Amino acid sequence: MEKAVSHRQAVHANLSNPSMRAALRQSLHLIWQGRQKTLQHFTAWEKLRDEAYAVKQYALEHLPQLLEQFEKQARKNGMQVHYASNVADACATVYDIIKAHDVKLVVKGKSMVSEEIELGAYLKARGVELKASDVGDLVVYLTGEPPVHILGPAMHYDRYQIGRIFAKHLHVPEEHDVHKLNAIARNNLRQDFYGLKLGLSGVNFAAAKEGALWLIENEGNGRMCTTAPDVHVAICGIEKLTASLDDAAVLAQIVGPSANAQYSPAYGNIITGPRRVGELDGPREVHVILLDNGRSQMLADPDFYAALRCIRCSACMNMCPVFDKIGGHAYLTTYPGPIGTVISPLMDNFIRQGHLLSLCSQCKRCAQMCPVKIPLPQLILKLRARLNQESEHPTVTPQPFRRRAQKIIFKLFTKAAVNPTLWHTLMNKSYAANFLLQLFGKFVPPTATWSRYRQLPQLSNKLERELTQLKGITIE
Amino acid sequence: MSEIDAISSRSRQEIFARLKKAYHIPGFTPEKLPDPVQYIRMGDDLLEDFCTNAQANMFVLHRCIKENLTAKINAILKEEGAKSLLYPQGLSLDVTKLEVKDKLCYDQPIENIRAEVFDATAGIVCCQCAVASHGAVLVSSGPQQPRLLSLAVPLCIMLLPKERIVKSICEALSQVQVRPDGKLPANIVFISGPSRTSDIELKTVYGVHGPQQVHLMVF
Repeated sequence: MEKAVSHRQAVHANLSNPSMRAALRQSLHLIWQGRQKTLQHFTAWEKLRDEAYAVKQYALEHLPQLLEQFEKQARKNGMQVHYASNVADACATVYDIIKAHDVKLVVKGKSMVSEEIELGAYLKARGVELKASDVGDLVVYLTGEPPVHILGPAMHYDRYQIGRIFAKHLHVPEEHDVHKLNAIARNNLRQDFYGLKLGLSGVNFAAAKEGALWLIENEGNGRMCTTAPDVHVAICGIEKLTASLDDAAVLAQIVGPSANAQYSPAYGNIITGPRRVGELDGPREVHVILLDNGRSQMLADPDFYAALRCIRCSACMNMCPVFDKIGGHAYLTTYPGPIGTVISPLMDNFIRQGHLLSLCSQCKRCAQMCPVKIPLPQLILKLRARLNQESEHPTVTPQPFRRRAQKIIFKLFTKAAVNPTLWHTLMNKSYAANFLLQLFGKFVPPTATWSRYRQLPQLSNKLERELTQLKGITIE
Repeated sequence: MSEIDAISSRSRQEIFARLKKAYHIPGFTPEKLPDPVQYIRMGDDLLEDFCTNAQANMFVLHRCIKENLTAKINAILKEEGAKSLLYPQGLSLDVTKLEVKDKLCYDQPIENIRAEVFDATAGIVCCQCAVASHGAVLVSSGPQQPRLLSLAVPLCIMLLPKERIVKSICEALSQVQVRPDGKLPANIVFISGPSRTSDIELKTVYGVHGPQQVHLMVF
């Protein structure tokens, strides 16, 4: 119940934030336009999608073998491989490495998985600062917010707001030119990279055959975090594995255009191990933490298995007509947008995250965009059905009265819908109740909530005919 | 590190036990996937394709012959006002002919020359090969090719012999050889122009934590 209220509050707060909505809309529009242009590089984008699908599907089908192969090969390459079953294991592992090197500052490249395990708060409580280095990430790190979008963490701010944030937290003159703002971020982090002892990163793809990590980025902060320090720690979800670098190359070619409409991202950074004998730079230790945190359970579920193909490109949220209005913060989860709507209830407490499932209009655009063909709208429908079943359980039912009312209404509807005489009568005579609807509809649930932002419909005496003419409805 | 090993071995057991229950799509048969470069629009000439794509990636492209390389590099250094130049060991150019105030050979471990590397204004990098389909170059790390060379300097000059241009990313990866110690290079990087960000209002700005300008000498 508490979550349901805060969910509604979050949605309303974000909907009534005009500057967030304007900034987000502008950025997403630019991505939409860019995508059209970028796709002109391809003669058969759909075939590339088929390959990306096949690469991920192969990896998921052979995950235990690939994990073993990766572990063996990465160790041979000189990396230290750790497994983490859950969030607590992952955080404890990172902290143990930090303690062993007596480090107080860790700088990270962009990594959603570090957000997923809430590493920043965990380390802060233990006196270690986890600083973000991606420009957008730095902004939300300074304001103490989670990222609003998995790729553009500060997409909800314009340059004036970012200028004020930098001025306030970094004690620099207030600027609003993007080049000057970039210089502020660069100079601030340059100091950190210069003396950095421990860098943290996520992983885009982990190639089992070669025991290699593949990281894609534009700013060079990811390369800095994995090159400049003595120790590099990479956190890698177990679903990031691919059979080989060649397989990863397929995904590397589809992720940029799908993400921010970029044909060829600035850096494809493949790491196979620490500094080798005779080499002059690079970390002396490379740790890889293979994190499960609910992924293996998802893999056992025939309904939601497909969601593990996700390569975190953000195409689904870039194109989502709900996301572009409410922004990522309204989801109250690490992963927002359509993919977040699917994986958050599965990875976290199902009932607690169930509120997310209302943030979808079933327009199906995300399924068309997804480079690895995750049927997101169908998965959301299945989750809604599952939530409905699971919330039948007396201990978890949040609003018993509403649930009972819903059940009664659906029972009555079923009765009417399977009885032709009753159905025709109801349809033909319902206009008689129109005056009641117009009179009380604004005050009585459920039409009261519905009519807050919409006009109540007029029930005409031609309701049945109007209904048959609706697209997608067949009446036998 | 015993605590961390205990976590890891317990987690490993738990994860593999759960993975035993993994769902398998009935009838899924993997097939050998073709190189996805066949889905990319390309012309007949690899060099032309590479140059077009590299320029779109904001490389500053210079096509020249080997004999002119030093003169061209000197012109760039002069125009950009580079004060110090970082170069790798075994560079095939005559370094004495490069006109820049300070020249530093990257021949010591980073721990000894950290300040010099982070403060250098220009650097020379040798590319292992280049990808025509994406206009990207590939740089492999090694004793003669330190990783920070292509990252720490604001002005990066990259050398690419034109016969090293291959068609696709997969072909480029196949060029990366296992070293005598039986391992791949510790770091293999595809580079597509200068470092950049569009995190503020989606406006692209060049030169964040990597080079702001990348001059690519194709000879």
